[in-house]
Amino acid sequence: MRRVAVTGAGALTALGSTLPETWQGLLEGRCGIRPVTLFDTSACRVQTGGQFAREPGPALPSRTARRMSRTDRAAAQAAQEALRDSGLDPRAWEPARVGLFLGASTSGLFEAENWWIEQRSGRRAARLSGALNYFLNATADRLAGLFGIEGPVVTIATACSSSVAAIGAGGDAIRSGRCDIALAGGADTFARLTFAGFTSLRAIDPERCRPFDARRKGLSLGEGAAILVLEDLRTARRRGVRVLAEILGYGLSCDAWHTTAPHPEGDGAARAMLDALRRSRVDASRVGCVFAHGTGTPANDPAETAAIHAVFESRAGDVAVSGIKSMIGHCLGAAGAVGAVAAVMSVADGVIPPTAGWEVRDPQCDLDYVPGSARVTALDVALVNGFGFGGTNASLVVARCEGGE
Amino acid sequence: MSRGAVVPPMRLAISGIGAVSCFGAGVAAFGEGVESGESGAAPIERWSLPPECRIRLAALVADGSVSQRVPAEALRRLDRASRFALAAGREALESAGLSADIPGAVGLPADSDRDLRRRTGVAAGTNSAGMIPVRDIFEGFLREGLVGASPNLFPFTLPGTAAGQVALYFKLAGPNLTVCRKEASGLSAFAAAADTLRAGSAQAMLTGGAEDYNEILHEAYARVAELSAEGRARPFDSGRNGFVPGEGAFFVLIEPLELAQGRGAVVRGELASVALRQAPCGLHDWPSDPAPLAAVMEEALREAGAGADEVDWVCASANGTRELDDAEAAALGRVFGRRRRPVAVSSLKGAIGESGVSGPAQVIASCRAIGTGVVPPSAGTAETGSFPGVDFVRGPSRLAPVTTVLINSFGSGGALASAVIRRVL
Repeated sequence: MRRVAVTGAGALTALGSTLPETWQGLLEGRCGIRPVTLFDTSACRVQTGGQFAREPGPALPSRTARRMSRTDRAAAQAAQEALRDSGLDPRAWEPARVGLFLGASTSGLFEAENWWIEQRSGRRAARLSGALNYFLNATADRLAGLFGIEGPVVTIATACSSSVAAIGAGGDAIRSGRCDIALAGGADTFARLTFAGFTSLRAIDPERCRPFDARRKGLSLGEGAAILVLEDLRTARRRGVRVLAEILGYGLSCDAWHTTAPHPEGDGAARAMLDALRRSRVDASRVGCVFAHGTGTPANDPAETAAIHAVFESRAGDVAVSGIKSMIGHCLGAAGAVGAVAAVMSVADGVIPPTAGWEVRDPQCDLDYVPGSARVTALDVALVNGFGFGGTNASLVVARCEGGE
Repeated sequence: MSRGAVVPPMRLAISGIGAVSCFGAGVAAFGEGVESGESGAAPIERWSLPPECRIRLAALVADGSVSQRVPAEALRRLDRASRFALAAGREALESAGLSADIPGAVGLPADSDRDLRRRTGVAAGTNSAGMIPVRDIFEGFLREGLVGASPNLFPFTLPGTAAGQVALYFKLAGPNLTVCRKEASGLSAFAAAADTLRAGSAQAMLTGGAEDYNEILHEAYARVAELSAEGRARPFDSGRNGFVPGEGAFFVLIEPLELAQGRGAVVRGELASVALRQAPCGLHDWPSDPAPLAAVMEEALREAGAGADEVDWVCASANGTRELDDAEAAALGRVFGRRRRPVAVSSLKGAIGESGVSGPAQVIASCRAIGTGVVPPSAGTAETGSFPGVDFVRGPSRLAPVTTVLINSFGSGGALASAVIRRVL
C-alpha cells in the first residue's frame, strides 16, 4: 500500500490570501469576522462574516478569470499556491495520472443569484453563462481544465463535511495507485442563499462565533478555499521535496437522526472518528489534537464534545481540541479543507492554533480547547472533523511524516 | 511505478434494485419501458411553457407516480428528488430482502434488519437536486429581501438532500456521500460506494441517485444545450438532433458478494469495476475526442479483469447529441475493433432521456439483461454509421445471453465514468 504525502498546501480565508498569512493569523488568534460587503445584508439579522481578506485573484489571463465564478477564482488561487509549494509543474505531469477531489456547497451560486436578479429585473437579457456556474461540479471542472487534469475529477457535496470527505477520497486515489498526484480540498464563497438561509435557521451569532464557550449563540459564516497536493510518499522522497504531513485515512458516517440537527450524543460523529482511526490503522492514543467541526452552535459543540469523549474515553481530557471557526468563520463546503490545511501546518510546525474567543467554560463542553494562545507542542497525529446537514459526518487523519517510504 | 502489493479486491454484489422513471415507479415498469423500444418522452405539463419555447417534450416522471410508495408526511415535506429517492431506495432495500417499512422521521424501528441498516450507507449522484428550493427561496428574497428565506426550505437546497433523507427515513447510519459530476454523477457514486465497502466502512451501500428536472433547468437548457427540438433522442443515429432531458431515481444495494450469498440474497450482478476520468473539453460541451473515452472504458475493463472479447453488451452513454455519440462510437471502434464478433451496443437515452441518474438506470438495466437475457434497443435509432466491432441494437429488443456488460456514462463538461457489471455464476 502506498503512503500519501502532502507536498504542498494553499489557502485563502478571511485572515489572508496566502496560507502563510492565514496560518499566522490563526496562530495569533486573530478574528477575521467583519461586516460583509459582497452584497447588501442590511435586511438580515446578521451583517458579519469571514469574507475573504482580499478578492481572489489567481495568476491567470484576465479574460480567463472573468469567465470564472468567485469560487472558481479562489480555488484556482489556492491550487496555484499549493502547486508552487509542492514544486510540481502541471505542464510536466501525465494528465491521466492526476486527480482532483473537491468539496463544495456553493460553487457559482452567487453568480447564479446575480443572473436571477438581473433576469427578474427585466432591464436586459441576462447572460446565461453566469447561471450555468450554478452546477456544483463547475469549480472542479474549471480547475481540471486550467491545470490539465484528466484522471478522476470528483466534486463531493455532503454539505459542511464535503471537503473532509474529498481529501479522504484524494488520499484513497493515491493509496490505491489510481492516481500519482491528487489535488484535494474545497472552496466555498458567500452567497445570499447560504447567508440568509443560516440566518433563517437562527444558527448565526450576530457578533462572532465562540466555539465551545458557554456564551456561544451560533456560527459565523466564512469564505474559504484550501487545496492540498497529495502524492505517493516514495515519489515525493525521490523528488527530494519537503513532505509537510501524511494523510493516513478518513472515516464517514451518517447520524440518520435529523435533517439539520446533530445527534445529541454525537453518535455519528464518534463513529466517523473511530472509522477514520480504524482505516488509518492508528491507535487513538497517538492523537494529540482534534481540529473540531466546532461551529459554535448550541447543538454542535456539546454533541462533538460527547463524541470526543466516546472516542478517547479516559484520555479525552488530554487531547487538544482546536476550533478555528471563531477566526475565519464556517466555510461550509471548504471548512474541512481549511481545517485540514491547519492540521497539516500543525504537525509540520509543532504548534496548535487556539480556539480564539473561548473564555467561559460550559459544563457540557469540558475538554481542553486550547484557550488563549497557540500551543507549541510536538504533534504526532491530528483528526480533522466535518459534520453537515443530512447528518453527514467525516473525519480525516493527518500525521507528521516519519522516516521511510 | 509501483502500484503496491496485489490483493484480490473484495467482490461486490448487487442484491437489490429500485427505480422511478418516466415509465412509472418500479423496476418492472422501467425494464418493460426500455425493452419496448419506445420513447418515454411526453409533452411537458408540470409547468407552463412559454409559447416561444421550441422544446416541449421531456422524459419526466408523471405526477403521483410515487404517492403509494412514500409516506404522506414525506410527500408533503420533502423536495421532489428526495421523494423519488425514497421510493426507489425502498424498492431496492425490499428487493434485497431487507424490510423497508418506512418508519417515522424520528425513532429507530425495532426490526431484525436494524443492525444491517445501521451499517449501511448511501452514495448518490445528482445534477439538479436542490434547484427548486433554491429558486423558491430566491423568489422570497425578491419579494421580501434577505429575511424572506424559509428555514423549512433551506436544508433542501443542498444536492446531498436526497441521500440524507434516504438515510434518515430508512435509518441507514453508514457513510453518506453525494457526488456531482453532471450526467456522470450517478455512475460516479458507484466508485465511492465500492471504495467504502472495500475499506470495510459499511456492510452495504445504497447507491444511485435522484434527479428533479425543472423549469429553471429547462429554461437554461432550451437556450444553450443541444436539446432535441422534436423531443426524440436518437442515439448514434445519423439523423439525431439532440438529447431529451430525463429525471427520476435509481438505487441499487451493493454489498460484499460473500455477505450477500451468506444471507441468501438474490445476486443480480457483480459490480466488477468503476473507472473515472476527465476529458478536456469546454465547461458545458460534450466530450468530442474519442481517446479519453476509449481510455476510461479500457481502464474499467482492465480493473474488472475482463477482455474486450468477453463483453456481451455495451450500455452506451450516447444521448443523441452530435459530438458525444460520434466520439463514443469511434472510441468503441478502438476498444472493440479487433473482436471476431461485434459487440451489441445500445443506449437507453432514447427511452428515458438524459440526466445525472442515467448511470444508475444503466446499472439496473444491466442487472435485468443479465437476469432475463433481453438486450434493450436504442429507442429512436434507425440509421447508424459503421464502426469496427460494433453492432448497434435497433428496433426490437434482442434475446442473447448476457454475462458481462460495459456501462458508459459521460457528462457535459468532461466527466467520464465506465463500469463493468458481470453475472455471478
